[in-house]
Amino acid sequence: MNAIDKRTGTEYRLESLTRSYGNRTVVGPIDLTFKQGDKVAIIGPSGAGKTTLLRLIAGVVSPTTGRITLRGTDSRAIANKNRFKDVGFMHQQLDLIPQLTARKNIEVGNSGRWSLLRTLGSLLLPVHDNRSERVASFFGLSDFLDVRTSLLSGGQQQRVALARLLVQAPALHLADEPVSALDPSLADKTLQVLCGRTGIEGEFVKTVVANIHAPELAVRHFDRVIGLRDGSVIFDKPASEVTDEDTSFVYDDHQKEAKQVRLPVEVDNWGRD
Amino acid sequence: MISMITNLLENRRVWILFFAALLMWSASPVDWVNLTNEGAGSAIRSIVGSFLAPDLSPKTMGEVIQAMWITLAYAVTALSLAIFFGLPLGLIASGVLSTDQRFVLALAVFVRAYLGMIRSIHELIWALLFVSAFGLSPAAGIIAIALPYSGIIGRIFAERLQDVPEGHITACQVSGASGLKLIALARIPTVLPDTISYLFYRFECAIRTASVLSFIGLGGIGFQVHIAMSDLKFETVATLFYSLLALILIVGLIGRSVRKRLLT
Repeated sequence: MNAIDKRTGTEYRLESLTRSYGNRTVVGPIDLTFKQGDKVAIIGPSGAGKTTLLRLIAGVVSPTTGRITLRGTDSRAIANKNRFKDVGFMHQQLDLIPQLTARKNIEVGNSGRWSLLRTLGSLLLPVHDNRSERVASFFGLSDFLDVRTSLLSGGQQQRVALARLLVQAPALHLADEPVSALDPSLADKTLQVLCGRTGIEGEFVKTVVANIHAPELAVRHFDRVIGLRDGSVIFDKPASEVTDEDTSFVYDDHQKEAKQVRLPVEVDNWGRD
Repeated sequence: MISMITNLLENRRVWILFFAALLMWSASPVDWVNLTNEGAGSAIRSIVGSFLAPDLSPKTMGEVIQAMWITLAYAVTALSLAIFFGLPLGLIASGVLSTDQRFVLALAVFVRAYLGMIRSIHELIWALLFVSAFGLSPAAGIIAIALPYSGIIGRIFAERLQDVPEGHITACQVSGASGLKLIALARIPTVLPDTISYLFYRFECAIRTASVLSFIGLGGIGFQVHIAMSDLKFETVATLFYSLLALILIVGLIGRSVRKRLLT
């Protein structure tokens, strides 16, 4: 546990960040600052650019214009092999390895810290990593650790992906729809762990930025809520000041969207960018 | 007129008729009337009779078990060699070891070409080649199987490694893995269960191939079948036939249970 780099004073700044595919601007221009310890929820209708925004912050997609700075330097200047200490990302598709047990998937979170030798060794010999087990227990996964991930339910898989993110323990946790497959009470518990309200609180002061499908969950669990529409920030408020009127746009746009003919999704270069 | 033709081409029945006609035409060179030569009837009757009453005498059974043992030993040795060389070569050929080092990429192309070459030549041809080089020795048979099999195993492994979903890799990358760690964490675990079950299938193939190769005098089931056939001892042929069937069935069952365990 002491191997975790406690990066203090990390501040993320998105400076006139945009991302376009062809001549369609999906995100931006956006200017935002995430301070250490911020718990931020991003809400908005589908197609608002939430996922692209998180990918930009995670560094798996590069911005078309603008930049992200942390600790005052351009994030692109940070060596790839050290990036895991700054940013971790739970993708909406989870990207778990279905052939592995839940335990192995969670332990992937250690891969940045583990040496190559230990990583190779974990292929052959089971490693009992206390940290992974502890994190798994907060998410109620203790009984499923040695089950093949493909046999777990969607909700269990979602928590495995979250546990992997928490084991990685980056300064900034990014999560794209982390509780979309969970029932309301489980969603509450899970978000409490993600935001450090229960469980691993005090271990490190983490920053959380998550896309949340349900505005009420965003307001209940996060300190700050950002509304995103058509790639732009339409409000950015402390959760306590968010009104029903503020969040109604999510539903309005959902209804409008249902009537629209959707454009074909462009192939994006996820992971290669 | 044109619309009539397109309608016709879109009709599934037209296509079925077309392919049925094609199939019948392809069978036309066979001389169906004089399909069997004289005396075939009694030969077939005696073969069928032998298969209903295989020779189970202790002497024959002893020979059969020994022959099976040799065949199995050939198959195991050849397959072990093929795996030992095939998997690492496949890893190199997949080109995943490095995406930016020219030397590694050039090596991948070279190994791919090598694997292609050794697997494009059939075991039997290799066997003839090695028999003329080494004489009738077990080594000739084993290498003749191991060589093309390592080519096949290497190619399959390489393809699987390349086809690992991008998401598995990005997820590990975001968690801080890079280079060889990505292969150990994302690529190999993803492809391992399927590869192992494929290797069991290859084991079945290796037993079949080993039994065929023994026809050319390398010993084993095929050799015994050859001898028994020349002596017209169809009861012994039947025993050998059933034994081979049992052997392959057992390997298949083991493979299935391993696969089941890997998938749950």
